[in-house]
Amino acid sequence: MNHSRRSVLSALGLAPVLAPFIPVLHREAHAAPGPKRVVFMHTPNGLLRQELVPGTDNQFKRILAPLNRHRADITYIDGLHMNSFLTNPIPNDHPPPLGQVFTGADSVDPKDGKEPSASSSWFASDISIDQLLAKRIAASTQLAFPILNLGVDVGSYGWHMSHTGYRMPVFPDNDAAKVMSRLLTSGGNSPQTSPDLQRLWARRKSARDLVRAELGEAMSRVGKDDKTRIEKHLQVLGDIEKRESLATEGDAGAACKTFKPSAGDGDAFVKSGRLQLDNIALAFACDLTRVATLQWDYSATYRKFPWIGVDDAHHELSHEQPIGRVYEGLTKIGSWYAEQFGSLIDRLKAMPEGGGTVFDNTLLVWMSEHSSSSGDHGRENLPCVLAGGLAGTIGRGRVLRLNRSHNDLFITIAQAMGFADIKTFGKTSVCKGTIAELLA
Amino acid sequence: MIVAVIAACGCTGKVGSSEGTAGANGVAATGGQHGADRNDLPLDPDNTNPALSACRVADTGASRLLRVTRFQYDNSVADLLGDTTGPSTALASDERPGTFAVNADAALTETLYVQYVEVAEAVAARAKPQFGKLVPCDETKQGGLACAEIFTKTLGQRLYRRPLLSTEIDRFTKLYADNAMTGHASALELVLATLLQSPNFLYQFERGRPVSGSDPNVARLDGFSVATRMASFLWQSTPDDELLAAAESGALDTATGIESQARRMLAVSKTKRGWTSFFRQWLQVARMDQTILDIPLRTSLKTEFDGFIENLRSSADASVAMLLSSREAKLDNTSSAFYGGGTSLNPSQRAGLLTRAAFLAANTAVPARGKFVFNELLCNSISLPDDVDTTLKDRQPGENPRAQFERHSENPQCYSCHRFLDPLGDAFWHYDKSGRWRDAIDGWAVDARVEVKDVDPAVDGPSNGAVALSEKLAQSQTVQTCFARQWFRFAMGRDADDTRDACSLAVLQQSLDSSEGRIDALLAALTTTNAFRHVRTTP
Repeated sequence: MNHSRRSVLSALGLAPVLAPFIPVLHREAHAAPGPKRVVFMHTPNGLLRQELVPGTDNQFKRILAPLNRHRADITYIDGLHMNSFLTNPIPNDHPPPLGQVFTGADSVDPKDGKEPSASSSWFASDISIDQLLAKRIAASTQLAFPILNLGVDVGSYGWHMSHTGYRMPVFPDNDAAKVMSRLLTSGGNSPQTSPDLQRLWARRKSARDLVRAELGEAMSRVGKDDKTRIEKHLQVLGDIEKRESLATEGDAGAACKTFKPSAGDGDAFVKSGRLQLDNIALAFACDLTRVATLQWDYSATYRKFPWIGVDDAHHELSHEQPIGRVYEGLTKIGSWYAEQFGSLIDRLKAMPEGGGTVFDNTLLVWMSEHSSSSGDHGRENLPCVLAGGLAGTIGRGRVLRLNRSHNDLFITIAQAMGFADIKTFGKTSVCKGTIAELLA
Repeated sequence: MIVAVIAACGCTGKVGSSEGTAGANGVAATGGQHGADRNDLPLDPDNTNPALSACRVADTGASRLLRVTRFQYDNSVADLLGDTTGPSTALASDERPGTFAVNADAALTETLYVQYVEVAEAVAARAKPQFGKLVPCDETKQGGLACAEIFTKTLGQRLYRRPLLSTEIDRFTKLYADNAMTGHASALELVLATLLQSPNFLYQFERGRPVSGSDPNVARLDGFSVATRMASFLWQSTPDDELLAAAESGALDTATGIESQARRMLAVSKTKRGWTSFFRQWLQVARMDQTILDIPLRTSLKTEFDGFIENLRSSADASVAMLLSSREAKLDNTSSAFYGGGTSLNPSQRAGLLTRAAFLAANTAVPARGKFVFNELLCNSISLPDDVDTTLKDRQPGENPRAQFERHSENPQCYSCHRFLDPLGDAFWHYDKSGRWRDAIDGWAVDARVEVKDVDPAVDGPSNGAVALSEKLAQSQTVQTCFARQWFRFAMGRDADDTRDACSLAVLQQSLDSSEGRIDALLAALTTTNAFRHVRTTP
């Protein structure tokens, strides 16, 4: 554990959550570049194409206008198609294709076509890009959290962007305060941590050891179908054990000391989102993780946005003709989400790292499973907003107009992250390879 | 619900713990001779029911190990510790492979594991001031370690749903001893938090013995496993002390003993949880949240629905017919206004389940309502084929609303299913998407007359409106049989296997036939079926 976080923690003791950060002095800044990180973000009900995609002048229209101050760092990609879906369509219901966005794979019918299946239980057939990258990073680097999968009021089972494998969705954590508390009190064996924290970790370890013994005994009590689940349960405990017994070294967390959490009030949805964005920034600043996902709401939400003057339900707007009040509503909602995306960029830019900022070493990706938000459930030209250059590997400030499977974007990102062996991703038959136009 | 079956010698031999109800190689201490199995099963003395002859050989469909649902987690800590804060909101959602929440498939993720740890710590911390009351023990007289052992055994057996083995108890007393310097209560707090993280609480492990004459992969469950299932099904919780004692004494090794406990359980208010959980999930009442955005109205209508179900549950003779035709309702000002005013429902507009707002607002479209009747009440399984173009030409100006759906008949692919769904759904035209009564739509007078064909003998023919349709469904034999199957799915966490569960389904049918469709008879009978009392393993 690096100095800055230790000191922060000892100042805070056990008190979790929203205690203000106390800057730590006397930490030398090193010029070495920081680690590469990536964030994937998803917003519901699509984005109104008419106000999203830059025209031939490449200028940002109303939805992306809040990002004009970051124009030079943002690349918009049009022409990424969800070909894994289009080559194997499923009942074009609302939630299922969500799982296909970040996996580039198929959606699996849990009933094998035998019975009408609740749309909430269609899962993706493969691992999502965030989980894959986290796994690859974990193979060579131990981090306190291999990945952060965060949500803002992501409810119903089955509508998740992140998968660890075939029909294995990941439930994001909606409790932003709890996440922050966990980030602040994550384990390690440093003598300078508070006695209270050390006691907590020791108690948790004893509990874990007991549970592992019981799980070991349980293995002989289950049939083969269920052995895998018990094994996985054991593996989870084992992974945590390994990480908590590790003391991390290095300068990677130098930006930790300059982090300041955001202030502000508002609707619970707004506050929760704000805190989750803080969590991503905090986790990156203190090098607690290098991969994060943020899912806003459930993907077919009926949420209203009174704080920006939209009193109609989002989902209903997305199924009405996009004119007048409906057009305005969809545009305002889209641009509010763009503001949130922009505010994450702001946070990362405010954190010095190496000779630049945390943002310089980061890539943010914002996508949706709908080609627009006007009810046609199109799967071509998926909205795709990128921010950041990922330590100079990804080109910035561009507008690309392609005709590719969206899988190719993830291949490109994986390669830019340094995994040269990743030449396909998700459904291999629709992959072509890296997108040369995107590389720096 | 998978258990390791003792492959070799059956009921003799004691390998492993001497404590009795041990794991894979142990022998169930609680009684039951193999000979008693046959006499115990419900047989058909006059041999008139070929399905019941299947009961001569114990069989059951395959099942998986179940992890507690969030609702069950909450109820378990409420029943044991008095913690009614509903801590499971901090846990990830349950799996929903079909209609009901059933955690039978997905492996634990790190996110969920961390959530379980935090919830367990929070529950234990909240319970700490009550330790003295929960498990009275004077540590100054008896010693901290002795009290810790009593604490572990008392709370542990309620959470593990069986007495703990000595090896298990020893681990906890060691855990206590290693942490005793933090204080007696603080060390007990860690014990409780760890019990709550134990796989023996989070998963419902089951044990049993092979049954002679049956498939070697089929095991007769021991009393504690039966208790586990009974409490999980009827109370959505862990067994209480009385049920555990019944298991210990061997009472749950016979059908009569099981039925007796089932009757006791059905008579207490905790059974409300099983009923509410079943009906809310079956109708997917949660989808009301998408239709009725006015929260006070929605709350009032959910309360009215819960009240309707609770009224049925506490009526001695609640039957399937009553479920569909009862006009009983408990209205507050808001729901009364919604339903048209007055202290009771208009009997020509409202009858049972299908005409209540909860059903209507959770199933808003005409074909969706028809589909519920066809699939969920009559146990068909129509689903949307992959390659069908489902665009329906929009309703044209001046066209009556029914005409749009009549266009299904123009396309044979659509019509193959919609010839069944639409007449059923059309009966609901008087109820808007929230469930409010309407006599006209855009000036067009509502016509809810339908002509049902080839669906069911009790339902076929003309009906005018959903009340009339409900009355017909109330008389349907198919609806009764299907209702039994839905409860089977809910109780067992899986669908019935038509071959392996034939006996069990026949027993359920018999219980309804001989009680004029009484639901409590059905639920009690469920606990005595072969499916409920056995488990099929995949070695």
